[in-house]
Amino acid sequence: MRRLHVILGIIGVLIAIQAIGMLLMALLIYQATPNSTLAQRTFIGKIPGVLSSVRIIDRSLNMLYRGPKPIESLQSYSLRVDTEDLQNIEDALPTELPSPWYSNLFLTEDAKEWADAVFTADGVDYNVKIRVRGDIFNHWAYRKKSWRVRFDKDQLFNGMREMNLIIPDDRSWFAEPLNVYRMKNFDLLHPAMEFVTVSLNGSAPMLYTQAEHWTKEMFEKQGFTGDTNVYKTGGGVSHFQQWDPVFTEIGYWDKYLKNPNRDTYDEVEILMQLAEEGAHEDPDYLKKLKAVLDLDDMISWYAVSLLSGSRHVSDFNVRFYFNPSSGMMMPLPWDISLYAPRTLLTLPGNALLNEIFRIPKLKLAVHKILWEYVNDGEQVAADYAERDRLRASMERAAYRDPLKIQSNRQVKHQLDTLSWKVETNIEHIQDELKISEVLFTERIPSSDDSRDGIVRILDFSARGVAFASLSALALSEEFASLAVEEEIQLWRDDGDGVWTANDDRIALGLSEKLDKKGRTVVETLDEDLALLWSGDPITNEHGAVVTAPHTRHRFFVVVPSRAVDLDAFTMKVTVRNAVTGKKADVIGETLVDERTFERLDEAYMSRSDFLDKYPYFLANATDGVQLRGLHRISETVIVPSTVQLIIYPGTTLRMDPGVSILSYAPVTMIGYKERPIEIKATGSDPWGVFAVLNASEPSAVQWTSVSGGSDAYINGAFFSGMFAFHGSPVTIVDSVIADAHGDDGLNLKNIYVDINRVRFEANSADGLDIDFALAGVVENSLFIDNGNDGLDISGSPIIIRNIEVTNSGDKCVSVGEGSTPLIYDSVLKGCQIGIAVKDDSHAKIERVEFIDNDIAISAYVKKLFFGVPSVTVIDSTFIENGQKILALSGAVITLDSAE
Amino acid sequence: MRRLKIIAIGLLIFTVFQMVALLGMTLLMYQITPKSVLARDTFIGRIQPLMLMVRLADRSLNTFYRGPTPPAEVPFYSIEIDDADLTLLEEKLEKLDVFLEDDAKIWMDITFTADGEKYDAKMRVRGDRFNHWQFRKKSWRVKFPKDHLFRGMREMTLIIPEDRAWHAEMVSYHRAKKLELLQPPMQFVGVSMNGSAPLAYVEVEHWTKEMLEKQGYPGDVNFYNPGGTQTSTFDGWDPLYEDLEYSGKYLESDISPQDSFEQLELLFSLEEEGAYLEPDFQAKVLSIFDFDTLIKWHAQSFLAGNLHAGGANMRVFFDTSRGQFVPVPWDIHITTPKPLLSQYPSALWQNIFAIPEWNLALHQFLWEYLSSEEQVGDDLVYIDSYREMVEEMAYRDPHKLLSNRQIKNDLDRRSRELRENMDSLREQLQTSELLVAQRLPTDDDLADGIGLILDITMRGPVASILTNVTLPSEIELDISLDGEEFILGETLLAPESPPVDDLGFPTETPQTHYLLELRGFTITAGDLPLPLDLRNAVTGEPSDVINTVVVDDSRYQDFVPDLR
Repeated sequence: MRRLHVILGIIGVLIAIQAIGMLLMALLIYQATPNSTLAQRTFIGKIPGVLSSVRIIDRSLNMLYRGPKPIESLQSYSLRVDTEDLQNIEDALPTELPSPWYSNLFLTEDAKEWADAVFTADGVDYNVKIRVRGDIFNHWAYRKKSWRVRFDKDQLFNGMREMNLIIPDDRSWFAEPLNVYRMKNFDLLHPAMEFVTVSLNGSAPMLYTQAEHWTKEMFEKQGFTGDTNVYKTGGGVSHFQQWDPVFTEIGYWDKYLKNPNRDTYDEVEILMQLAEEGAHEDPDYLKKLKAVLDLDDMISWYAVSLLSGSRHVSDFNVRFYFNPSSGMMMPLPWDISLYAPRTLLTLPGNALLNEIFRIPKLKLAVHKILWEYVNDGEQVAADYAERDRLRASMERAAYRDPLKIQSNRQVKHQLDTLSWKVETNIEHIQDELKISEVLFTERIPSSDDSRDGIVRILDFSARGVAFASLSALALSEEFASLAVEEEIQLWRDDGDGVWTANDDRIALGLSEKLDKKGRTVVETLDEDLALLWSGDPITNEHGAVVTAPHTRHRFFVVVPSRAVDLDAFTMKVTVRNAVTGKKADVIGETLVDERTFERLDEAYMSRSDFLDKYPYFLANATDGVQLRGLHRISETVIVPSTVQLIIYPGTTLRMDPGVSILSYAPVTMIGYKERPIEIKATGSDPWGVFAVLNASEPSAVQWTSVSGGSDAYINGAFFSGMFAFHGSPVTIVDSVIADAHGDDGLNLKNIYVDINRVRFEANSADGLDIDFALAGVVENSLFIDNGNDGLDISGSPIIIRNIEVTNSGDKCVSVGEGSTPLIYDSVLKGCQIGIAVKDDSHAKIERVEFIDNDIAISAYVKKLFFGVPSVTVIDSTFIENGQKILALSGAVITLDSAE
Repeated sequence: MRRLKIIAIGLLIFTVFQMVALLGMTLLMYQITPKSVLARDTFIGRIQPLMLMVRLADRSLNTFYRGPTPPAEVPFYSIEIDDADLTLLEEKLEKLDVFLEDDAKIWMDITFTADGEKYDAKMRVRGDRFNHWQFRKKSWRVKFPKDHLFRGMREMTLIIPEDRAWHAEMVSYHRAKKLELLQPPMQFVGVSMNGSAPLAYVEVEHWTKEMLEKQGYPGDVNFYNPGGTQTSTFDGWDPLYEDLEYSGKYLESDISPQDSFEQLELLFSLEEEGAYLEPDFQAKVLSIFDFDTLIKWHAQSFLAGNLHAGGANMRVFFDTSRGQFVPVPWDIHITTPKPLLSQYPSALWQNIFAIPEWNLALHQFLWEYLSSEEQVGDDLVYIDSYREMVEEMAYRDPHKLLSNRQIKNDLDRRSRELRENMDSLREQLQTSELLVAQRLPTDDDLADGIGLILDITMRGPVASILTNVTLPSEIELDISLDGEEFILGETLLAPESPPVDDLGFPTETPQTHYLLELRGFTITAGDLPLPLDLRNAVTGEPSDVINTVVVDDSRYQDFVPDLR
């Protein structure tokens, strides 16, 4: 028996655990699965009574919601309709989608069944006709419907011929009346809107939003003629599309009112043209807009829409009134609703508005109006007060409405959310319009552009939200005279990227004040030309912004009257938020020197183009080019990789100051002893370099003399050697490298070294500099009277033999950065240091004579990130050196069999 | 009584069965519901103690994981840092969401000890995303004094190894070295923080002048930092290829007259959409890149799934001695194998390897690598040995976020992915699919001298070459493609890039048509199809000709002109 109790106890515990588990699982499924999925795609929605039971439970709490007592009582009406007529109306309503292309039940024309009714207000009966209204099913598929009420011509109600009684939840309860309140603030034409209660056939009062319909009477009461075209758009015309794409075809448009004398659609035709994608690019677009549209109203319409975060001004909510007195179309804002805020970068929502507000001036106007509105404390307070008044006027009536579809819990939740949305939209606009992001690149112009007088090119990318403005340029004291004497000009590029007569010159004014750093400031005086607007952002298929725009703007700073040193010229650009006037956020700033790669394309130009450019070069039979004779080289020559350069014996190149020859192709410079090739300066000023860069085929140099050059920076590569081979294998024999004014006479980088019988003499710094050679030999060469090192090697495992280095300013031989040379049968004489071995280098020295050096051998760490060096000396001779060896930083010098 | 017992036992069995079913349902729910939904939208996320218990239960098994003994000694460092500094740092970090902000990059004084030698260094957190600094174990940047470098390093980075896919990054590092690509020195190390047991880290030397010079490159260069995070109000990651101004520099060159960015602008010009169609594109690329390096750079990424090396992880500097960019592979990561036709992960590679001959060179390089027993064997050895270098230390790491069970799973997964990528690439490189239609010409074509049209549809993923056409008789054959000479055994039949989805995966196979016009003979339908020798341009093996059909274009030429 006890065992049975235990078993039953276990079962009980298991059942309890399971029950908890089941409940948690159910909760988990409920929370993890969208409610719509549960209701529509699972068995839950198919169990009779489940959903309705949930609703009943929800509604059973309705009585707990009372709402505040309204400050003013609502107008109340009574409607009496024959039940048979009501049934006819009900029977005529759609129960199926008009076509598979529709996503909602839709009110088609044949469902708009009019019925006779008696409308009573303030004790007066009116014989009226009523029908349901509203495109989408929420207006009429449930017990509480939206109505159109038409009064008799001879018995208008409060001067109204037709009114709409709209279920207030469709108009976001108090939100749409708040929009109407704002429309009034912006002087936009709109029918009055108010909350009323309506008793249908004796029912308890139902809350409605009342709006007078678009009738002649409505317009005339507001001082506008009713005998004109009032255009509307909508949907349900086509089998294939629920909402008509109204800006694609004029046939989708309809009218509420017609001009009795001229029932045509000319005005819409113009709007259609103005709404075409890209229409705003027409230079006359703004003029055309001004001719047919009341732009102030358009700006106000968009502003009201943005205050409500609206994404509802799509094709189907477009209404236009043609004002015959002004000859212009006026927008009739309609059904703006209220949404959670989204970035102001988002496109307005329909083709016409999108195009119109692609005009920077107009969008800026909207932003300025908004900025003023949301920063006007009184106005914002008035908005909040109106919101609260409207809510207070309808909340209790809404809770007591017996036929509404929502529970009071849902109504309250919606009202609270809407109240929050009103505030958060205003705060969002306040925050967003403070954002004006700009990326800025300052360009030092190419040589060609600078010859035209351009001293800087200013490129901006505007990202928004608020537009920016190029407001001022500040010049340092050295260049202040350019501003004072009005020599500096600012031009806005017309979009082609180059400075031409079609660009617009921006007027500049000298500021009376210097900036904080004492610079002279010139301010732009043309707001339109200085504007840095942002265009369309990148959006996803739902129109949501994925990435902010990057809208390019280019300006040219020009000094046509005199030459300006481009490297010395500096200026500070000031960019401001065009809406708030505060400094814009320059989130990225770079400098681009267009001179650096201005000749990169010459590195791979064709042989024929090269020969056209440099006719003193001649074509040879092997697809190469050649030089022979005497030439004065007055501009830097770039030999492309597509050819091979041959310089013939006896050729002399006289190089003008600063001028270089850079070859991307291998070079053959083989002279004769009696007819050497000479490269030398035209006068006393140094020329640049003769360099070969990244030519994979070998070059050859023999009986060549190179002298009087220096260094150069060409196509992004820096050549410290007057004669330089970078990544370009070369054999150099029987040649002279002398009188270089740069860091090196000859510089070899990243190649196999092959130097034989070369004299390096009187170079101002190093005679020969070898960097990161793969291997190779320097032999039988002389290094005489070089200003710094005779031979400087870095990262190179080479052999050095039978060289003589004399009277170098610093070291006869410098060995650094992990080099592992073998040096033998050489003489190192008269230097400060005979050989210095540094930075993880390990040199082996055999049969070398060290004569008359301050220090014969030194080893140390120069760059701390390298390891200690070592030197092994074998069979070498030391004569009259100041100090034989000096080992520092833990370096090791081993002397073996030395004298 | 017995019946009652039977009923009770039956009920017990039924209840147990239900319990199992409930557990099964729970597991099912766990597996089919995204973790983010469970954590954010359900009560699960609100019962932290429960989550904590699950974690504790998971971690309680940590002791059962031991890991192999490392094949070599793992370097060990000790870092002493003031608790007050750490508290201040945590306060800054608590305010952050996803991305690290400058405000939290505070340098703190530390004592760094290695091999008994102490260094007065500075340290700050590093890493853009929260995983590097939001939890107890963080990634660090350590800066040593100029006059007291640590093993020649001025700055080093200590990265939580799970962010680098554990040993996967080390394998990519090893491959980069084999391919002679420049790499900052990288190794697994153990770091004791304020006396803790060793924490496992990946140590990488930072982008410093010293790092470059030690490896034989000039240190005086512009080394570009391709952008950061939250520069703008709108974007988390900077849209760095939209504009130059998002980029910065790790190192600045003093050689150019200004601190300018034209080098990067030049690089960006190669990344513009369709740039490869520009007539001078190839010449421009070759003038500023070493072609072999380009191939190796992309191949190294390919071997690890080709996911992570583009965009914000692109590290390049402009070597002024070469006048060229030097790429430095960085944060390659690893992923499951992807189709060869997937979109390449950087705009630069997309353009460069849109050139069929260059893409073929890339494929050939990969094939050569993957066909080499020596290379693959070496990779396999290093996959295991790098794992062994970190596994035991990771299990013993007291500050790690993951449980040892999770670490083991991750290590197994990364090893598997490293192997699978090699296998998958090898397999895909052997696939070159074609469809062939041999068309008899129309009368107009005949009048133009065309004897036969080979309508070849290339599906890829790798290119083919036509090496031989066997004709009924010996004649001199003339083949043209789009009016140009078609050279047998040379002209490539390459697939175009297919459309891809948001993740870069191909949504359909390319169907690239080549119409080869054969002149110099006439032929009848009876002689067709001619034997064609179509070969995989990478392996040299016969291509996969899915089908060959014969079409007589002349048959309906009078009824349906322009049919073809």
